[in-house]
Amino acid sequence: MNQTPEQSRMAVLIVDALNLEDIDPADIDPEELMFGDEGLALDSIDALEIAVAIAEEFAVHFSAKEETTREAFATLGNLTDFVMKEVNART
Amino acid sequence: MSKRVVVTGVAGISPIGTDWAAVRARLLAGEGGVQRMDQWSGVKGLRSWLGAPADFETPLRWPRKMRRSMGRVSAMAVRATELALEQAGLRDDPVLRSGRVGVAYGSSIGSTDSLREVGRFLATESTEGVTSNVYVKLMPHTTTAAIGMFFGLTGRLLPSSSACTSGSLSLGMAYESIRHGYQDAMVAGGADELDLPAVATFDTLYATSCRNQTPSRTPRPFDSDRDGLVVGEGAGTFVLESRRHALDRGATILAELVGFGANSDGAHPTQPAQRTMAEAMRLALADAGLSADQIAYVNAHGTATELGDIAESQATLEVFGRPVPISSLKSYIGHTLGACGSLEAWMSLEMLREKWAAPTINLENRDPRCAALGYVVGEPMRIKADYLMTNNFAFGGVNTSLVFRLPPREGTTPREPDA
Repeated sequence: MNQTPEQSRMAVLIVDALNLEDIDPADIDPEELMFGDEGLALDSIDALEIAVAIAEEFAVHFSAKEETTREAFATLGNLTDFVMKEVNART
Repeated sequence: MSKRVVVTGVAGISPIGTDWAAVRARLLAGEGGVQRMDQWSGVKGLRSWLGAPADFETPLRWPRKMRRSMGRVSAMAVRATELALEQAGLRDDPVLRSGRVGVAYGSSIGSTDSLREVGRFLATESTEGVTSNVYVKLMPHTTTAAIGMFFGLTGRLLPSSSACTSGSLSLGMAYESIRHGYQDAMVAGGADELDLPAVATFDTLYATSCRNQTPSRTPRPFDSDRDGLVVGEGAGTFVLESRRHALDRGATILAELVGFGANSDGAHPTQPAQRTMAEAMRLALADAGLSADQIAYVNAHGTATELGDIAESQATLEVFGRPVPISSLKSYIGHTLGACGSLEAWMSLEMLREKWAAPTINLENRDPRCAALGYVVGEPMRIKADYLMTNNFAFGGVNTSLVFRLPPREGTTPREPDA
């Protein structure tokens, strides 16, 4: 479950945005589901907080309606890939 | 048929302690909780750098999903409620989720800290940093909702947010909910967090104390040298329930809430009105079926503002017609705003259960414009009380008065029939 440097940065952003005091960012498995009863057990309010933090950090915005958004939030790996793709598309 | 309403749990977070043993020690020692707030000295235009903070941190053992939507004000409210429910023996009782238990609670506004984020949004017209939790922390019923969610309550949710009567109005609303049979039990109280908006508001009204060099000498309720109030913070929670419900489950009855009076001035936004203040006290006495002679002690609102102290003391004399023993706990804890109604009721109840009343500290020379009441000064006074009254008044012309009956003194009163 090694994190890439981008995933590590995203893991820190999530832990900071949600005040997950008892979670070490390095312990978040990039492939593990983050929402529902699994993994970090996050919920929709957490997703909104993460989206605000990503908008501030990367100027990447999500659409609440698109299915790609749901997929992007599934795991740390997906979220990092989605955000990096958006960032790279700009440059 | 109306039900009798009893207190089975009560607790508070205050500038002088978070349990009765600690608060008691400070009251007996005459040690208030007012401090110089040096971090405010750089605020442009602010004259008062005094506050009465509570020693409180949100417990990290609480689930994150509960904590994330709580500002400091809600966290203090929930903690006080946790303690009160534990005392009542209801902390994890299934009755909390039965729909028969609700919550009446309030604060001046929501968490003032979240106001910063909304203020920044309004000033910059940028939503940066504004999340859904910001509104939940700021909304006027943030404490009420936080308590309901944390303890899984499914009965009435009654916000009492009315500035300085939030705590007392909630007790009245809860009392009436039980009395008329709508609920079997209610969590009731009020809270507020210490922050600049409240201090600055009173400052602009020239109602704050500016004795920045001598925090222990202020506020000075009813004293001729008083120069205004000091803002404090905290939370006070009562667990009220029908007497029948309490007896059926074998709960210990700490006191009975027997009278509630509430009215409004219908006049000025900030100036108090003696006539309606007095009327609120009369309404509470009438509700309790008592005469003023039967009240052994009055816990005053006693903010140490010029107009407030004069109007309140004159109203009290008008109703009582005698130098009734009276003191203001704000001389110890400052003006805890939304919390004061329930915090001061808690402390008064505990004192009178032990048959004493704390003096108003810093009251050395009564302002001759304040009525000649039985101000408790210097030393605690021994008082054997069957009934006590506690009064609170708020901006907007809100007046409340509550009358509590203390449990019969051992060996003096025959057991009465259950109602």
